[in-house]
Order: sequence, then C-alpha cells, then structure tokens
Amino acid sequence: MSRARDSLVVGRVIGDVLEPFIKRVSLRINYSGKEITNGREFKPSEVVNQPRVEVGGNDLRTFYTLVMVDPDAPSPSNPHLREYLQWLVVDIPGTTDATFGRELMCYEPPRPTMGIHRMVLVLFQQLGRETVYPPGWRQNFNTKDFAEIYNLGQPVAAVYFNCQRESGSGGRRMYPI
Amino acid sequence: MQSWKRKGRRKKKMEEVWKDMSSSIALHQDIPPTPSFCSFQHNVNSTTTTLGGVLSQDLLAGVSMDPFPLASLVADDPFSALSGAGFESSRKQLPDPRVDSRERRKKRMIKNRESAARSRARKQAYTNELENEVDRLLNENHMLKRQYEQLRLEMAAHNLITPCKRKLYRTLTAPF
Repeated sequence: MSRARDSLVVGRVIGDVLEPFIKRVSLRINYSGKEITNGREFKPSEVVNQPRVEVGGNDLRTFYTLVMVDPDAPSPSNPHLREYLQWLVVDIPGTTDATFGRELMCYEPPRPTMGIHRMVLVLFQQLGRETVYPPGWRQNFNTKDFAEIYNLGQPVAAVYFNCQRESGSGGRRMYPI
Repeated sequence: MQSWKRKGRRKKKMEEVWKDMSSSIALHQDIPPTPSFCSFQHNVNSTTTTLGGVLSQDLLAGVSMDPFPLASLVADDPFSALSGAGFESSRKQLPDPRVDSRERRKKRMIKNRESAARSRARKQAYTNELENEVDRLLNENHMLKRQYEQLRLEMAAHNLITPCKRKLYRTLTAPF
C-alpha cells in the first residue's frame, strides 16, 4: 500500500502536478543529511545546493529520470508560471544516485519570493536510454506532458517539501509589494 | 426611464424582483412596513425598497431600521420607485463605486478562503506524513525486535551463545 500517496493527495501534488500513481521504487532525498519527507519545510539557505538523491530499484541497467518542479511559481495564489522547472536529470542507473545521471537542466536553487511553495521531485522509469531534449525555458513546464512525450509512463515515486522566503512569515504579506 | 405605458408590461418582472428581494432580505432585515407602501404591495409580504435603483442587502443594512426616509422617497414618486425596482436593478452595474468595493471585498474573501484551504491542506499533509512515518517505524521496530529474539533463540539452541562470565583480563602490560 503506498501511504506516501496520501500526503501527496492531501498536499494537492496529486491534482496540481501529477495523476494518482503507485509508488514502485524507493526515492530517498536529503539536503546535507536532512531527509525530505512530504510537507517538510526547508529554507532556501538549506536547499541552495543540489540534494543527494538515492534511487532504488534492483537493476543497474534500468534508468530513471528525475524532475524537480515548483508548481506554485511565482506565488501559490497566482501560479501563472506553474510549473517552474528547477532540475532535470536523466539516465540515472537503478540503485545509484543522481550524480550518475545526465543533467539536462542544472539545479536551480529555489528562491520563492511570495507565499509558501511546494517543491516536487518526481521519479520516472525510462524504457531505455532515449534522447531527451530539455525545454528551452524553465517556466510553464508540464510534467505530465513531458512524461507523455518521452514515454516515461506513470511516475514510480514522488516526494515534495515546502519552501518560503528565508525571512518568511508563513505566506502572510506584511508590507505592500 | 420611467414610463406609464410600460408599467403594465413591466409589472410581472417587477413582482418577480420584489419576490426575490422579500425572500432574501426578509431573512436578514427587520424593516417595519411603511404606510405609503402598503397600497402598492398587495401581494408582497415584506417591505423593502431600492435606493437609486440599486438593490443590495448591504445598502439596506446601512439604511434599514428607520423606515421614514424610505417612506418619504416613496411618497414623492411611488410609481417611479416601483418601476425603477424592476427596471434599473437589472441594468445598472459597474460604474457604481459601492459595487466596486463590494466586488473587491468578494475577491479578497475568495482569495483568503483559498489561502486558508491551502494552509489547512499543508498542515494536514504534514501531520499525515508524520503519522505514517511513526506507524512505519513502529512496525519496523517491532519486526526487528522479533527477528532479533528469534535469532537469539536459534543461536542459544545451538549453544553458540555462552553465558557471559566476568573474567579477569590483563589491561596493562608494562615493560618494567
């Protein structure tokens, strides 16, 4: 039973970014030792460097794609840039980590200015080592469409964390912009 | 644009408007009937009116409890007020600053509602995740403990574990 899916549904990741799926592969991500669990909060200063992404599976010959997006860009109440592509890594061999993959879009540290953003990391299993073309820009990325274009199928794992401005006040606007 | 000729044809729509008003406003307001109105409202139970052709609960909330200003308005030109009710409220909308601020307030309420919903979802998702983790860890712990016990029993059964006797060990061997 995939319990992680419940938090993804409650946090509306399933709905806003993904369709319901069944978790099949373990995905463990940490920023300097601090593990990502759904809904956990990370400050921008904590996520300025790319995290360590440990991919499960049981075969070195199975390859995975990792997508990291911000569906709440630039602001959760007006996400007209949804989804903002923060990171894209392909050809990650099973049982290894993201450093063994090929980075198509380099890691951009999250810098939310307004509100509390969800940062979603999704793992797809590749059919083979297909040529994947990165998009020309980061905003208005669509994970679902991307998966369809490159035949990635349903996600095999996903996790998300929350991120707000370093001096954030829980999404409250203290001063007029 | 009041017209005596049109009053007959408009009357049906006006009565519908009055019915709507009375049903929605009667719930909120408690305006006592004004004397001059009674003769015109044979089939309307509550008494409400329009001011400048724009009907709103907010307006009435501000004006309501004192029936006399309304009565005087009506007394002056009863037909204009009545036909105005049916005619103007359906047409006139945006240039009115009162309506603008109402719209802005409504929009803010909606935004706030959405923000509150997101906040609740966030909190719930986090709690949910923690609870799942706790369950998972408790189960894992339970299982590991059982495995440990079983392994101990197996090893003891094969006499691989000897009782731990206190022994004397040489801790230091000095050259002198």
